Amino acid sequence: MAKTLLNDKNLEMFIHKLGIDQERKDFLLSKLPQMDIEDRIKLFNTLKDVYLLGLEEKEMIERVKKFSQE
Amino acid sequence: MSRENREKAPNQEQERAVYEQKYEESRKEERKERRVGFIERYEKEAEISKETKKQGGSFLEREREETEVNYLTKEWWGQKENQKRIKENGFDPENENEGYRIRIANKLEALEDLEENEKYSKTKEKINDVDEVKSDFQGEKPSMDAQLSTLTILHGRMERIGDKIQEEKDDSKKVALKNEFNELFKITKELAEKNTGKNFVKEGEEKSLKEIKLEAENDFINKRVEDRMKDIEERGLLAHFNYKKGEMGFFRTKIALKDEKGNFINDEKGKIKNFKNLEEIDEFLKKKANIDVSKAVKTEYNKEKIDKEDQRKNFKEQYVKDQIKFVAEAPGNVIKERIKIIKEGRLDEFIKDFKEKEQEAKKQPKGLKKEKVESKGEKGGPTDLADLIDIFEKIKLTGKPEKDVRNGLRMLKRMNLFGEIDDKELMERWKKMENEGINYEEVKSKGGFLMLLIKLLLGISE
Repeated sequence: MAKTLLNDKNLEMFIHKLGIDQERKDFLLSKLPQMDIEDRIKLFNTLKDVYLLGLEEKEMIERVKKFSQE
Repeated sequence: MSRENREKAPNQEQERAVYEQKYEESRKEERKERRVGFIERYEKEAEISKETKKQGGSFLEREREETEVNYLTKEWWGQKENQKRIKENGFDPENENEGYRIRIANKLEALEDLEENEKYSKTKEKINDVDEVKSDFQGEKPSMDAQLSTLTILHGRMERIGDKIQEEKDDSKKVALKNEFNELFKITKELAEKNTGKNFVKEGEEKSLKEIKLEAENDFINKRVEDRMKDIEERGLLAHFNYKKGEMGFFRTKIALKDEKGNFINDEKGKIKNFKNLEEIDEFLKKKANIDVSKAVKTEYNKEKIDKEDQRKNFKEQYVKDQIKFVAEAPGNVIKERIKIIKEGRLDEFIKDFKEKEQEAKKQPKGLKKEKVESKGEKGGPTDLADLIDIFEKIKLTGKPEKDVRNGLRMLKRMNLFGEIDDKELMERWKKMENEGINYEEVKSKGGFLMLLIKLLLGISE
């Protein structure tokens, strides 16, 4: 039931969305079917950090841009 | 092409190819070296990160703490000489390390706040409160410069309030800010209209504050120039005015005179004299008693010279702006590079652990089956995990674990992601997890709460 949240399809979509480099992307996608629920939670935790770091980067660059416009 | 050159041509082609190949190889080597350097540094940081995790804080939290506490504190930025040095000369790569630069980028916001506060306190000194500003226009009419300056200050204040309104999440504070904004808007409009006798916003008409300010400023400038021209012409003189809006909305006027022979009036050093105001003209003429003002020739000032002076000033302003832009862009690129390394490092950490686990599994006797994850039967189609993270990032945590967990579960239920959720069973599981020792501080960090709920739904604890 709850396990379906971290199924192959959802994790695949998330990996594609993050735009990580091809080598790492290929590895993760190829190993997805073998991953048990514990691996999936760890993977989601890692992908979540990468996603939030991306948002943080955008925010920081925006601040820098704002400063340079003044 | 001569015969000799024709023979040379293939050789030159070959030489160029060899050169290009060598160049490309050296570039590759350089990139590799740089990459190795980054990896080494990341590995060091990963070690520290593991250590920090043991102590209960995440890697990112440690980064933030270190940045905020140990390095560029507000007090540091508060020192004028530091601000001046960074703004004028940029960073000194010989003395400052890369991390230092990044921290400066992080602290640009702090600098901004400081500057804003400084401006605001000056504004406050001047306008003090709304009533004082009002009294400015009820009593004797202040000078045009003073009015324009007040208008500019009011405008700046309103812009800052506008920014705050957008950022403020608390509705009651938002309302208070809006009221303050409206009050200042009213005063600004009154000031502009009272001075120029012009109705800037007619009934039923909508105008932005920027439009009103621009219109009012133009009126101020035109009126001021007209007044000056009139004064000078009454003295039998014609002066050329060059006026330009400055950074703060002020404007400058330049006046030059010619004597009865048509020569420019020079100062003691023989240079053409520019006057800032009529008082200066009076004083100058008093000193030069031999000049008969009434016979002075009406003429125009050397416009070309003024233009050159302006160009020089503009160039200087542009130069300073470019410098600031340079300073701002440099940390921007470092931020990107830095975050890329951290992102890749996190993924590599996972990949490494996964590979190790795979190796271990191969050594285990066959027959131990992995838990299968169902891909079918999920309600409502696939779930966008990024969206889910965004939603949970917006949740305001109360800090009371049980309450937060209940609210989070209620939210998941509403989203209908997991079908039926047995609250009672889940809360029992939560109690169990809590007893096992959940680090709630970590839960409060970014994305931690969603992870907690997922683990809870799966019945897995640390």
